Amino acid sequence: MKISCKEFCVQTVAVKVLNRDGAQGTREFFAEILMLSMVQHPNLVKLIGYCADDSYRILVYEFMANGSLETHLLGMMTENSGVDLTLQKHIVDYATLTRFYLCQT
Amino acid sequence: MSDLAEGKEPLEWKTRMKIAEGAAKGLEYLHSSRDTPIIYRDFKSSNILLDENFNAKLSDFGLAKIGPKEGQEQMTSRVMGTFGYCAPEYAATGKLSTKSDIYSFGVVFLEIISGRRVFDTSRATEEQNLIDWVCSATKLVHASE
Repeated sequence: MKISCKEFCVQTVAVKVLNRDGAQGTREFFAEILMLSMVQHPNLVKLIGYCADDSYRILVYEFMANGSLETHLLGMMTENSGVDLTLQKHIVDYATLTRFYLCQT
Repeated sequence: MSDLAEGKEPLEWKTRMKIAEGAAKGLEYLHSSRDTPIIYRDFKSSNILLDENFNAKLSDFGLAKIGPKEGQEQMTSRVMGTFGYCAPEYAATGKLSTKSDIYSFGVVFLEIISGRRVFDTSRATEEQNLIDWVCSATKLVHASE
């Protein structure tokens, strides 16, 4: 998915939409935002933005073209797709994207 | 030997070591970049993401925890994590330290070099648990020396 932030950059992102049920998920959602806002390193995934509007819990990350290590170990990557299916599943449409508070990074 | 689907080429050794090194650097940063370390608690192969050049990046910090405080080596915490990757002493006692992450790194490293997942019920009973299988193989090597 490509989204525009201002007019200058177009970036492919991965979007994780959390299940709205359960306190555990909400706790982990905010822990994720807190931790990733404290750290910055080439070997940690970058959080680009998030949405915590009403009951929406959405995280936006830099896109990782080769998926997870697990998919390579277990041979679960589809031929030439280059897309982690778990991430692909979470990609949402532009209507939802309008609800994002995109961090300026 | 590996769990790879038929006809699928395994990752090259060089790529595997690059992934292991990148993941280790990410973990080291979490442990040592601040006065109080961050304990990741969920180091596993599905949380290590790979960019277009196979650079490893750790993801999913929902279980990460800050601590223990300076001067202390461990803290007590409700046991969280993923079965198979979780350090046995943490699972048994709830005592958490950066070493718990290092154990998980060891498990992932074994997955990387063997191409096997930590648990695989499709294998023979004695080979279903990767850690047990490696330990028994190591004992055989020592016994033959």
